[in-house]
Amino acid sequence: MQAFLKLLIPTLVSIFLIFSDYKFSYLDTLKKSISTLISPVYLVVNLPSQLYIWINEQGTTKQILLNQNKQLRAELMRLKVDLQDRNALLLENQKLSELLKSRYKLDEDKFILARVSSMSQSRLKKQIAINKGSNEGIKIGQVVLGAHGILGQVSQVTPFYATVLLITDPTQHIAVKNGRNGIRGISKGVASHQGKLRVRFIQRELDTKPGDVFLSSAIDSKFPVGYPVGRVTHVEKKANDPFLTIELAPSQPIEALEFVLINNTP
Amino acid sequence: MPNYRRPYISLLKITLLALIVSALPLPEIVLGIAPFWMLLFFAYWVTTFTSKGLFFLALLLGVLIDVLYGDILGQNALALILSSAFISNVKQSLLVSNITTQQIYLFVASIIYLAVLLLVHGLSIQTFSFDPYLLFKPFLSALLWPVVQLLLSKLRS
Repeated sequence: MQAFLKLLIPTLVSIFLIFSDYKFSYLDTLKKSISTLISPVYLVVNLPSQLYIWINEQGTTKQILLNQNKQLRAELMRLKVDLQDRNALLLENQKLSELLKSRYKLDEDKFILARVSSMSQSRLKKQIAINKGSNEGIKIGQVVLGAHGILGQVSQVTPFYATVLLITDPTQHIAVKNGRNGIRGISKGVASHQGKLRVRFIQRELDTKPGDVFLSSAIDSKFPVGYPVGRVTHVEKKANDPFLTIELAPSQPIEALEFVLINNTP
Repeated sequence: MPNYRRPYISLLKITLLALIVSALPLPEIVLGIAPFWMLLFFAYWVTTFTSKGLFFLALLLGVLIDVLYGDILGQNALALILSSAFISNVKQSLLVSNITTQQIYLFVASIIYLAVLLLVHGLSIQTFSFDPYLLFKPFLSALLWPVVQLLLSKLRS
């Protein structure tokens, strides 16, 4: 009986932890303290790669830097031209909004740049660790973007690093809309090794086809509006299912991802 | 000479090593089949030292892994407690068995671990799907048991 109790009590405690962590958020402080306690583990693990980056940076010749500078200037010029187009469109949009008497607000987002430290892409969990933490103003829930679209959301923070839960994780849900016709749905990660997303709750008679791009929607207040989430790779109408089965490939691939932007809007 | 008198110092070393190995940045394909390091390391400790307070220690180590992986708190803890219960039950037999039998015991313990993870994960996303590829994890855990045993015995002595 005593032996059984010895097993039963920790088992019940762990079940209680699972339930409390899944349903409520009052264990967040405990999680934060533990992650701060074990954060040196990440520092140790990342030491070889940091050393490699440092050695690589020390060994960069002047000629390589000059070439990089030239390339970046060209890229900057191209982006400035793109920005002019975007500004013209914004102005036009503003005028149209005034005509329609609707409220128009420009987002003045502030971003923090961080380097990807490590990736954890198993079938059950899809996340990355970044080299910025609460010391640099990173908070749980902040949105993380890549150059090509939404990447995920900060799920865990320590003073020195943070963990980002990717949009391809099966526990992440984002309100999305089709960029072509505005049809709305909810995207969710798929528990597989392919890192895909599935869009749910789009009725089978609505128009969606491979190649369509889904963007973040205004319904979901936690993600900024209009950022690419994924491109449709497969659409299927299953028998006895009122909704379409839509698969997306994420707009922001994480292979060879080096830097990310964290939306620091208060 | 092996240090049998200081089990908790050995546990501290084993825990640190297990956390470091678990956090190693590996390619996606390797991560998908990576063994349950904490289970392997803790199983070694259980079979070598006294099993006093075993399940509470499993709870603590499981919580550390939960936080390290960013999983639901308690998920790995429950898996480690139940797997340790199995290891503790077969401890006497495991100690006198040959290496293949020991690997079979570790395979069963890893299957228990995987089943708990899948169950909690399935309940949290309200979808149950089994990918046979996941069976590589317990298989590899069993396969690496002799290596872990050798490594940790060197660390202890």
